[in-house]
Amino acid sequence: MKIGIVTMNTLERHRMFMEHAYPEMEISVAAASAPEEEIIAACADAEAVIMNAPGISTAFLKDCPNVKLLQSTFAGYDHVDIKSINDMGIAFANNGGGNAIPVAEFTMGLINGVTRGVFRSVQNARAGNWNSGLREHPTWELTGKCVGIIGMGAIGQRVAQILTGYECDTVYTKRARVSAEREKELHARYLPLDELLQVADYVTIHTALNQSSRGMIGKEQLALMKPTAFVINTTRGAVIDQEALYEALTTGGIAGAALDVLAEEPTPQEHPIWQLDNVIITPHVSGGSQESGARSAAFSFDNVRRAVLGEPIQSLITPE
Amino acid sequence: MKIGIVTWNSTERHKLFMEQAYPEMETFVVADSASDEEKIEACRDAEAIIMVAASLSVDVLKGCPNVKLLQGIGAGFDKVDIKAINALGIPYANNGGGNAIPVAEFTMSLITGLARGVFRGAQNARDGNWNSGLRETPSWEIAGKCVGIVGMGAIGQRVAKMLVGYDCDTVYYKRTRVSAELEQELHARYLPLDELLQVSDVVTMHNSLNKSTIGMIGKEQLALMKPSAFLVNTTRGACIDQDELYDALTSGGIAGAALDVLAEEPTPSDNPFWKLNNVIITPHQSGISQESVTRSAAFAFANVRRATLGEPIQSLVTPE
Repeated sequence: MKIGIVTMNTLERHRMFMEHAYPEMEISVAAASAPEEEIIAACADAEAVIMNAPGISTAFLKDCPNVKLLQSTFAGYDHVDIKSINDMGIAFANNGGGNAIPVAEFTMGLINGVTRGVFRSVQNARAGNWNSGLREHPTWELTGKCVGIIGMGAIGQRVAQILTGYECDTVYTKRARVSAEREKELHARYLPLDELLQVADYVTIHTALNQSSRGMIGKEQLALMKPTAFVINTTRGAVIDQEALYEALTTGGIAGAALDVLAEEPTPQEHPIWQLDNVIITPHVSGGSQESGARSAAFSFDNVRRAVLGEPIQSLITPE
Repeated sequence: MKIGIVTWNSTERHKLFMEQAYPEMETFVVADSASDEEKIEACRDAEAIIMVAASLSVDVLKGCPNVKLLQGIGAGFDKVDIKAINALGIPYANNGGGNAIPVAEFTMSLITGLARGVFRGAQNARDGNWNSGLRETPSWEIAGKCVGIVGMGAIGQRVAKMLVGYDCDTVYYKRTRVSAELEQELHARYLPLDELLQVSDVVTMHNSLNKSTIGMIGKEQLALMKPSAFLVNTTRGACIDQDELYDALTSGGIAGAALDVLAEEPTPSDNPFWKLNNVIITPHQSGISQESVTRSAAFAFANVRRATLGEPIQSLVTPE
């Protein structure tokens, strides 16, 4: 069973990843940064390829005639031209919700942190400004507030599950509603996007980036939000119109934002968003954890094994 | 109904606080920074005194013969000489769990922020260090880990409640166990302190500071903790032996700490904790939110009203 792996992992993380391979697998590895010839050389005979790097060109697959599955270790697939891959007779699968837990927990870290003023108070304490956080700036509670989840896949559902312990009002929007049973379990009720934006104190985005979700939060949508509301983005920067967001943040349209993703990454130092003190930026790290590395590896090796053996592939993604 | 109020609040927060007073109350307000003489002058005829994040000497109370209740606004009472106050015939009450929500939510921000690398991510992003958080430094998930709660009053219980949605193992220690019913509801099981310290990946402190809890986490207790464990303190700095904590943090005894409270506050800039990159410090602000100001005010005014009308007082605190 020949498997190709294209990876951007550090050596240590790659070692952890490989622990989940099956003994019968014959594996050749290429670095994501390697020239295309090297990637082709590694994958030429492969029956499946695991792509452990976002945003690499998949043109090399045309020279890998035996590949049955391109398996990504990531949740997002906005950089992948699924249609052209499928046209080559190759299926594409994402990581099966393998990073739902780390992304959802990271999201809670951001929501909790902006609500309770934790990020500002870390800064205040460091600046020797011991009392200002306590006395001068208001902070809030999440309990009793309305959290709006956009996109209710594995990640959105995990956020909703965590929120059940917080006694808040959870609303969500999704192209296809989840089952009534699941809604009840997650204490979440469905609202159309426009209504969600109007009632939510926090809007957290967990939809995949694709043609229909690109720029889905624009000027008009931001204008519907409460001036006291926060937007949290851990999916892809391009889901939010970045200029409209900057405008809303600087004109009192919304209260603040916590962004693990921006349209431009790494976000250059001269980007005006760094100057805003109502914005928390993290460097697109929500999805990686020690545990999710192992979980995504196990899922990927299971899935490519299924593909090679002709068993049903899980987490197949098809073009819109 | 004459009520004295000794307050540390800013003008704006005081206004919010006073909205909860009853119409029949005649209130006399004096700043915490005023002299004992000024405080006596203001509170001389008061039938009850509310202490808003303030301190009041026993001498002041001696000058106010009509006081039937000294009402605190915080949860902690380590700065109040309850025995001496009771000797004057004055009971003391705390805030009835009014800040359980903000403290518990702040605690969850610290736990998720530490585990998921949110604080480090924010710092890395600010430093222009876009990828290092993701690739070089590991972060963890709370799901599947063990969180140990030391002290299971209103705040500890609230933390346990929020943890339910994270799918983690919650253990707690308290001098007297909570009911089996509550344990089940909170998915929390009792462990003696030593055992809790050995199994927990996160230890979070929610007991009050009193004679039996000063320095309760010392060298011996820190040595029981896992080298991979985090310690979170939002109660009082003196519950943890500060020198031993510093030692454990710098010698690999424990992985890190998040401290909203330290033994010395404001913590001077030459305190060695500031130099540690595995420590997050916030300026003792977990207990206050816009909502808790209102909630604590409503409780305090209702309680002093009960006291002056001779009805049963709630949240009485008695000396150990």
